[in-house]
Amino acid sequence: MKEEVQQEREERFLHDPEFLRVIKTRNTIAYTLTALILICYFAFVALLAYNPALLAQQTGNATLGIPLGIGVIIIACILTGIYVFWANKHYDNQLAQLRARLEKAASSTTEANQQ
Amino acid sequence: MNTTIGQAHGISIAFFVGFVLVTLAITYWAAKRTKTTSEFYAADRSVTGLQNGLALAGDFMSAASFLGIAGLVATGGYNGLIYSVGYLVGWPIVMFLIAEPLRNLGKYTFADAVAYRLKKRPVRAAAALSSIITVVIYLIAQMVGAGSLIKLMFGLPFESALIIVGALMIAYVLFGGMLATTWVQIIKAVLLLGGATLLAILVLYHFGWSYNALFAEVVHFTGKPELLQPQLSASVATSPLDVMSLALSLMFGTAGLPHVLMRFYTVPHAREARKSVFFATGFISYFYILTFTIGYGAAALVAPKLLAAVEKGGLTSNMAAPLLAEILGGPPFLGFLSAVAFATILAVVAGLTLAGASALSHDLYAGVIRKGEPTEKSGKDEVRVAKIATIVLGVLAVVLGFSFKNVNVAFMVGLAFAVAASANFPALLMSVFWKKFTTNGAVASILTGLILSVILIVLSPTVWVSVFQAGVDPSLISPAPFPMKSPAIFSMSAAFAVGIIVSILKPEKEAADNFDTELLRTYTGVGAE
Repeated sequence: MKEEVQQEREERFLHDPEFLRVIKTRNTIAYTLTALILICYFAFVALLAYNPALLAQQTGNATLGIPLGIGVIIIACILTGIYVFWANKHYDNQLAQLRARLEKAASSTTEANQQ
Repeated sequence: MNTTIGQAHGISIAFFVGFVLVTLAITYWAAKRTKTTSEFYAADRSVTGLQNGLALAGDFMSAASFLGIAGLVATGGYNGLIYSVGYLVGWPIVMFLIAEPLRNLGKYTFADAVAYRLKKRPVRAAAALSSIITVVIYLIAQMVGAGSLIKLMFGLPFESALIIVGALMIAYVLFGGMLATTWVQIIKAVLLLGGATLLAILVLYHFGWSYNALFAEVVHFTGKPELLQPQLSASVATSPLDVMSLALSLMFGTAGLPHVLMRFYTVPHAREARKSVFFATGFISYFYILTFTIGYGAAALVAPKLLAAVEKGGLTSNMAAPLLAEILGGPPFLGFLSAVAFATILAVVAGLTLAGASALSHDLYAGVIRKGEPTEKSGKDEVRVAKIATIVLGVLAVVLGFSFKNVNVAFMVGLAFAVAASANFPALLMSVFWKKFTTNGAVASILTGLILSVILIVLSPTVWVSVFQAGVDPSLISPAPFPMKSPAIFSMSAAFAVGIIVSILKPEKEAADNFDTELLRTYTGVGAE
């Protein structure tokens, strides 16, 4: 019985276009941000490995490598910030609303079945 | 040079005793709240995002990274920054790919999430093995670092230092579980951030708040413009490919460290888990920028004296930050920083011991050896086993610290990251994202990553030449069979490849059928504990 209820819940969520849309947005954002940090980091590392002379150029009294390295650290912070801001402000609310709607629909069906 | 480092100051002893008393009081308070499995492993999920962010950052702000990276920057220049960037960029990956599924699927350990829709026993056995090996390697690094550091800073013998560390960490974990371990980590993180901030401010004040002046003085004082330039020495990597391999293991190792992943179960839900990653990323970045400033500050103010002292023996480059503190802030500041370094070691080893004990009790004992649904009695048994495991691991850590006394600490930390990136991360990622992943695939992937990363490191120059043939006439040395220092580019790729091939060759219908259930729980957190 419990299995059936569980099964029904899953179908309800996974066939709900609104739910699928919310999940898809979430994944697009998460995967884009993942790609961005991978590109920034590995571009930096590749320069370090294959063209260190470029990073050794002087800028002021420092070398180009120093602001770039610090830059990658700051980008990492900004990207995580973007995700947590979006997810905690929008994504969680959308999910909560969806859950409320779908669970309500589920309980009314169960009641109807019982009557 | 004249320094009081190595003599026990009244000030540092007073600070340290203060820290120990406060943390023991917290442990006493936590002990009353540490009875059930959820309380012991996960602080009853009562930790907030900010608190957990500080604790996660604390795990990364080890004495090794504070003193080690500052020392690396002071003596090797730019190399230190490479490690900082690598350690940090793992966090966005944890945030975007790992944090939510981990928190929503698991209970206490990352093996819970890997095994969620697979056959529990084989997956748990493999994940427990790789967790314990990662934790023990990391623990050896911290213990050896602790012993030499305390010897250097307080003048205590190596052995007594290890016994003090071992006894205190067992007390925290045994009586206070995750709650005490988390608060010890939080207090230390705040002290360390405060101390490092003050030291960086003193450096910048000295140079009129100008990084340009600081960099100019680095070059002028040391006569080495290359300190500001990226130059990979053979001690870090042997080839450009090796640099890429190191970069992989630093980034993905973070996403596979059991003691870090375990902290995601101490917060109530995914929302707080996300916040905690954000706070952790912010604190760690800030901390790395501080150590970078401190490292160049040491290069500009104490480097030649430091190098001379290192060559004469007695001091290591790890002492760059303490020397700088003594020059800029006087003995009281040095005393404070020494005490904080001691506290840092304690907090990190306590977290590691708890993670190791959980792998033994939750994954191996409860998940593999004992069968059946958890009951109230079995929960009590599990906590008892976890406590026994804590004592065993604590004693083991002290003994291993004695026997690996001369191992290179940075190398051991690198090894732990390589194993974590190769054995733990691929299985976790595939289990969460790939429908056709199977039990056999998971076990094969974990074992491949684990065995290959360890074997390649044994065959690398670090062990084959520097350890096995130490003291051998250079002309007689046989070259290392594996020419690179970091194995991750091969061992991590192999772990993914083997996991994929094994899963495709023999599909597991049940695991694929349960993927939808997993997906729903990953996203909504419904049913998550």
